[in-house]
Amino acid sequence: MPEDGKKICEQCNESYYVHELKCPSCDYENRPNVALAALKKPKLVLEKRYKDALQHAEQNGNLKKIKEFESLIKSSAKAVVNLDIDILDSIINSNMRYINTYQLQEIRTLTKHPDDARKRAAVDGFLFPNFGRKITFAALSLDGKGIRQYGNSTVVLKEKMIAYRASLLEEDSIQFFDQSGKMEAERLNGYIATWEDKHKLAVAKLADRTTPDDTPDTFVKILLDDGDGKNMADTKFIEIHVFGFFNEAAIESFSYFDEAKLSTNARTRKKQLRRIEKLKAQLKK
Amino acid sequence: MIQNVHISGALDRAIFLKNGDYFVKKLDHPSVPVRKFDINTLLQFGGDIVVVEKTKEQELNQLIQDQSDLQSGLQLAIEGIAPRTPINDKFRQPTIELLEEYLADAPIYEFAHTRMMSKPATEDTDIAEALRIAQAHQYTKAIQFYADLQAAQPTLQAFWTLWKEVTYAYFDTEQELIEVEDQLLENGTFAKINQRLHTAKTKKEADEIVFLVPQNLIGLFQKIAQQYTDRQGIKTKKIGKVSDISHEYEEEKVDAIEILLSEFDSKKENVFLHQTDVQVKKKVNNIIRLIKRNRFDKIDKQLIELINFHIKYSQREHLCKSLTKIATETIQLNQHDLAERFIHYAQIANPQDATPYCQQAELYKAQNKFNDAEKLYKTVIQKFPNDVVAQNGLAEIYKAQNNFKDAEKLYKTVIQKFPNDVVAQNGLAEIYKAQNKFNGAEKLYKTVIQKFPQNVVAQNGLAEIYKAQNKFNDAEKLYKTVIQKFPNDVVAQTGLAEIYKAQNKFNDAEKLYKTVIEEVPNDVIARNGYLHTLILAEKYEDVEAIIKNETSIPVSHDDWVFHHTVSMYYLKIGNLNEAIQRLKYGIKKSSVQEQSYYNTALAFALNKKGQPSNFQKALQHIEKYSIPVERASEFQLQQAIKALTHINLNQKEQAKKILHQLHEPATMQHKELIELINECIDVPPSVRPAKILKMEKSVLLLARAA
Repeated sequence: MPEDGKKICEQCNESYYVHELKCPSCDYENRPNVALAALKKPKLVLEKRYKDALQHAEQNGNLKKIKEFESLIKSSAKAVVNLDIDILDSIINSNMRYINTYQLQEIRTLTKHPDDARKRAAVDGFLFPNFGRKITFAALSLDGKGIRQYGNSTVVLKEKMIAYRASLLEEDSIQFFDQSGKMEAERLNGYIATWEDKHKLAVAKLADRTTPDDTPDTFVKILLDDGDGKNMADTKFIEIHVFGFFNEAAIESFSYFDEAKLSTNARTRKKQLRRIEKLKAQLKK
Repeated sequence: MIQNVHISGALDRAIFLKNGDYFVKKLDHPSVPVRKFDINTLLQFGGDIVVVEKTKEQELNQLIQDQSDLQSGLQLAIEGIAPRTPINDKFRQPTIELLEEYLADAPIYEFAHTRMMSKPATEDTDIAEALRIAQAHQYTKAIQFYADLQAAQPTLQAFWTLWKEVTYAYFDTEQELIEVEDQLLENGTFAKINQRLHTAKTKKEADEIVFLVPQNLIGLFQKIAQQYTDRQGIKTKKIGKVSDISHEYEEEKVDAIEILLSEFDSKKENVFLHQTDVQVKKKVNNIIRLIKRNRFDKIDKQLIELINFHIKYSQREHLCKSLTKIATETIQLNQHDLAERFIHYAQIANPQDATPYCQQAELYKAQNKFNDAEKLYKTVIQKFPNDVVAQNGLAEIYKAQNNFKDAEKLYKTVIQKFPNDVVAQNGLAEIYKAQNKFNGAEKLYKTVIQKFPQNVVAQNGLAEIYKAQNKFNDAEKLYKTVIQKFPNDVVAQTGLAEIYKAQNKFNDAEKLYKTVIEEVPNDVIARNGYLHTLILAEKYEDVEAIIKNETSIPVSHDDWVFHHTVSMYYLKIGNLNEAIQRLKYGIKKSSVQEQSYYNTALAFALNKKGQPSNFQKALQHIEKYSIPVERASEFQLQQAIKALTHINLNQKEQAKKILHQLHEPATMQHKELIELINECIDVPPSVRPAKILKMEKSVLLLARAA
């Protein structure tokens, strides 16, 4: 077994610290976020939280509903990224790769917290030392819609393109550390997960919020709720960290909302609507 | 105020600095805070970024909208020719339909056109399909746009192949090349160059691309122009006279001079010494002397000597000045083809000097090629926005085209920018005069005279205004003052003679005209004035003697007045057949500008001849060329003859209608004529002939005044 905080290289079987970008022995590429979530300790704590949640549900006579929820997460939950339609168009029609949403302009958390630049840097520095700029932020969604605060269109990423390089965090990373107040590695145990364990994290987090009256439709909002689409403080969702970027080929589907927010200029509006239509056609898989 | 505004039209947004914090604003949305490095993202995704140093926050939305419109137009134009894929084909028609809407805005059309005419379309694009759809749906703007784009492709391909080859080793780093390319693309230089090359039929025209580029790239573009013409098989135009002396300029020699000029190393730092200046003047004068003596065979040798001297001792700018000086003299000697040759060399010597281009435009003007002159002046003004010569030159072209409105506007702009520019002020006064706005002209001339008491043009101009207003005493006095100050001023002398003539002081007029003709035998105004005086003084023998010696066949631009005056003489003495024959000849042989005078005069002659068929013909001639209302006195004359014709045809209503169209009477003759027309309309046909005769006399008087 490797020491604490270390992993075994899939290529050469040597051990190294999970935050390394490559295996120091064979240069085999590492995905530090996934490696961290796959460590024994976080997994054990998550497993405990998951089991506790199931047990609690059983006691409350809600186990069946929780299992239904868990099953839906396993089969249907996807990673969604919200971004501005103009940026998306730029990516699709000029073969650009999508980069970190935090490098884009539509981060409403910043509007809520004036000191958020500092906060963001601190959180990224803690979660992704040396590789923050290589992380794509996504959210776990059941209906293909995401956090509007990040942009007016949503793309659903193909599972096979991200599963091996994605990890999950209980909630929006800034909110997560705002609540805990401290940035300690221990704090992450049980609150991060690999893609395979996403259902466990969802159950651990949301079991208490489900009721026997819930249906697959209501599960959607339990898993991801972006409030009025304006304030980040109102959002509730499981944050996904995808190591690396993606391009058009990784997009499974696309949806656009908020036509009311389109330009008031008739010609510009027409152009924007045509762009949406074309993107829908281009991304219809 | 907000600062450091980065606008992306492609992303419909801007990032800016306000009170030390960065914000992003999306089109039609409120601003929200962002971080400084988000500008990098904007630069990465935003396509063309326009940076505005400072602006008002409330104006930002409109700035974004403007940039969004430009980029949308461009994007749609590109999508219209996107490669043939099912999705692209599905969206092609709606895309072009929307493009049509955007292209209706001239700035958007211009922007997209400039961008797309800068680089060749990639191989997988389909311009033909876009054009087909545009035609099928009658999207007129898109048709024009894509037709231009399709036609330009061969030139764009040829140019860019050449560009890549020539620039391969020209720039030190690739970054430098990219920067130059971006600059030339963004400011539309590539588009202009390709348009020029696309239409270039001669090497000279291809060479003109160097005029469009910054000073530091002239050498590079000279090479490109050279290789382009070689590859495209564009022949070197034989420059020189096309007439009997053209053979004296061998094509090889012309090329030798061009090559010599293109090899001029502008980087050397020579000090232009006084001694050099003296030598240059001497060489320039030698060449001018050769031209004056018609020793064209010797010019090339002297010219090569002059160029070599400049190469050795001075700079391109100095050589250009020498060549323009020679060109100026050559123009004055009416050697237009030869002048064109010197101008061409001057342009090669220093493409950054506006003078040879203005000279070329003046040459076009002298050849009645007003459209070419206008186009060239506009190019010069675009390149040298503060070149007052070009602006005044363009205003002159407008005037020559009877476009008084634009001429007036331009002169006023020049005066506003350069309040002491006498040429513009005199030019504006001329425009006022041409439109019978005598008060405005008088006031302006007086202002110039007050500021510049020695300005003879303004003084002669003012005297002209006095004359036009029948203030003969004032005019005479002023002309005499000018002659006293400038005894050799021919304009004042002929002007004074005109005044004598207008007051029927025929002897004085004759004497003065003779004096001028003795001094300047080729002075056309004096010669024509003299002939006219003899006609008025009824010295018919002298008139016949002049006519016998006439050399004005065929009619040329310079001597059409002489020919016209002779026709009018025959009209006056009642030899209507001779008059009509000559006027018909004038219509056939003169240039368009002069034909209106012949048509009007012929209409009058046909009226005098009588009979309804002649009156009908008269009407046809008047209607053949309608004199614009701005040319007030000529317009009035034409209208008077038209009224006369209608009276002869007993078409009272039409005659009355014309009276309403006539301008406010400016002269006594005109007032009287209107009364006569009125009388003629009202009297019964039996008593009309006497009245008509009186009216004809009045028309002739008006003609004299006009």
